[in-house]
Amino acid sequence: MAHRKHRPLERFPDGAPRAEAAIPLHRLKPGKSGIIARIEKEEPELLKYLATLGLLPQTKVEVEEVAPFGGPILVRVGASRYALGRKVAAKILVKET
Amino acid sequence: MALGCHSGIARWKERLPITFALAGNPNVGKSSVFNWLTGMGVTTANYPGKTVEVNLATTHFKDREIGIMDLPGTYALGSVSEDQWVARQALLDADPDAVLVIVDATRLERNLYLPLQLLDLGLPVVVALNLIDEAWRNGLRIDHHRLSRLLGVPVVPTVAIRGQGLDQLVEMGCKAAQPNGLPRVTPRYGMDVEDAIGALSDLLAKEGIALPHGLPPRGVAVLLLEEDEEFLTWARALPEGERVLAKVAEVASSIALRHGEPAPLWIARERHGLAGAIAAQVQRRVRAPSKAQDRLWRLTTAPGTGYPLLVLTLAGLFAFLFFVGNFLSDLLGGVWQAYASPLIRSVVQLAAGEGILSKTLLWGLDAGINAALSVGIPYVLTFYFLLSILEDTGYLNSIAFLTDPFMHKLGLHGRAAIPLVAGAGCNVPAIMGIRVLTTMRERILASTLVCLMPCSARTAVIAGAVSKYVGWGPAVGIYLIVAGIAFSAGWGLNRVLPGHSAGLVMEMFPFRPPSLSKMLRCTWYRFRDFLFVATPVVLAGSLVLGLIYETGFLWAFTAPLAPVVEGWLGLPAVAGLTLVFAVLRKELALQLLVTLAIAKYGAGVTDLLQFMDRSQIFTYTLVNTLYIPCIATVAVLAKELGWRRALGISGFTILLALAAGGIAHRLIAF
Repeated sequence: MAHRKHRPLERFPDGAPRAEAAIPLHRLKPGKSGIIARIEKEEPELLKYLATLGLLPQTKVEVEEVAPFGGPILVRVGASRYALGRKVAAKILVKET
Repeated sequence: MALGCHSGIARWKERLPITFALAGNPNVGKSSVFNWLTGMGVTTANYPGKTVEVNLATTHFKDREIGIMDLPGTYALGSVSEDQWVARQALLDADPDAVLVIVDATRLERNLYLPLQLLDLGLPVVVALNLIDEAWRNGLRIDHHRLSRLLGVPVVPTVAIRGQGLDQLVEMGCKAAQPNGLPRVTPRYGMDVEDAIGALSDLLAKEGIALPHGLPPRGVAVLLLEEDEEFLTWARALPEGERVLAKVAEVASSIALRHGEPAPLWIARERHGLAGAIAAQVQRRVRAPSKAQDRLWRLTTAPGTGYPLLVLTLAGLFAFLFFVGNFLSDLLGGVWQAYASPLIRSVVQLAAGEGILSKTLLWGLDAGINAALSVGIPYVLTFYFLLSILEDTGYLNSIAFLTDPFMHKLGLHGRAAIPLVAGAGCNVPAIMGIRVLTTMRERILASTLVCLMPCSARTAVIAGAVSKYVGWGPAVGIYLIVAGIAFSAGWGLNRVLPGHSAGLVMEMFPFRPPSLSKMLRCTWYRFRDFLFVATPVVLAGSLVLGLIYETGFLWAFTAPLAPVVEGWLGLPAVAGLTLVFAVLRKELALQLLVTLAIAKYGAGVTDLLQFMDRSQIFTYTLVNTLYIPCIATVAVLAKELGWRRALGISGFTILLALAAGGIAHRLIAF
């Protein structure tokens, strides 16, 4: 089992600890997984489409591959795999687990 | 044959005693079910402005004729994407007697979403639990009796590619189609969602509002809560509209308030939750899934191994198409010349004598059929077979994944890579392959690019004219110029055409061992399209051109073409005529050039350098490579995109060719 590095706790400027911030899905490293925190709402159609695929807040996603040259990312949700373009992935905010 | 939709589907349904719709997620074996049940005689129906089609056909079961409507593969029936919209509209227009939903047993959880949505709409559903063999091999055991009890609908395990379970599926469909044949059930969600749906459907029922497409109140209530744009518009137009919409807003906000999520998303979540709960109850894993699948995925999508594999595959595909295609083409051409040609010649001469009529007929029946065969069988058939291998194994997904970033620059996405590469073999199948792209914008962009790909026929001219008389360097130069022009054209069109490329959201299917019978069937269905679309056009075109040639009317084109051919391109007039004729088949340009040169300059002419200099040969070949691919390609373009767009793309390539040719004439000298 590989040793997992602890990420430093995020803090407010006054030093108070803060809940870990959500990051866009494509910033997760391949092999890492996260829980969807929220999906940007400016495109309601995309939101609905992703919902039909089961990409909903509180769902666990695992990033399997990130294509180079700004290409799509490959994620696993339940038993299914999806390729998501960067633009789409950037709208999905996750908390790393 | 294509039907204009709404009325088309209604008319189709009218003459059939019983109709089924086939629904399902993409790539779950729905087409296998359709093909197995129906075979020949498929018609397609289009909705105006939509690229996704609905296939209609009939099957016979116990002396009954059953209409089968194959809906586009979709994950759901919202109106958020074109395929979903078409699937839902066709379903509502056809009002089938039963909906056979094909679900993937290996991914039951996600697949149960669609049948639950169909049940919400109050449609009679029969579930085909397909790929049950694959699920078994992966160590999944599914209790289909229990699934049937939980869903409240019949569930039939099937292996569609071998036709297993399909008789039983149709039988269950017939049962479900009888009035009171099977009890109709509706799924139940969380209590507050059900309360909201109940309140809304009570209002719809109490007000006595006529619901569209004969949907039950519950179905309409769910659609309104899902904020379905079409049904909201419908509600707004009602006399009671205000009250209905106020109620929708009221119950939707109570859901949103309680769960901190808008009602449409919460309903999607509940439906996924229900699907997941049902799946968990009926499936049992007896063995961990094999890691081989995952390793194969890693290998084909990780950049380090994926790109080399991709380059090898594409190079192999191209080489196979090029060499095997050329070999078969020569072989068929030789056999045709040796056996068919003399036979046809003597029959035609016996019937029509030796005059112009007989010679014109020979252009069509001899040269025309030969042309159709020597493009169709070697290139089109071979390409379709290769494509079916890539598709059936699932490698096409990896290709799309890896090429996506480059295709994005041209306003396309990864799925366009294969047709573009195929275009270098033959444009005709490449353009048919563009069907995998879902928006008209992408189809226009990709078709234009394919038309600019030098196919094997144009490569033959580049080799026979430029390599031979000017040198291999200039021949490579032609490819580079064409590649530069194609890339700029794609880049420019992407900026000029309205709309923007949609973000990629694509399911990646698992690798599967390919099935030969399925690949052969797939190849044949596609090749049939080529036969019925391209062949008649090539034949008719050959007859017309033959008539123009044999009557000597051809030379009349010399004068009107002169300003462009001689003035702008600096070519001899005969060369211009052959460029016009080469629309039939691009490699004809060279043969004709020699034939016409002999006719005009006398029998002593044996090579091009006797009447054209090296720069002229270069310009001539460049123009021949760029303008309209050939008449068969135009016919296929018209079938896929409509005549207006086909002519637009053809015109665009003519302009490009003339511009490039004129510039080359002025700048390049050897």
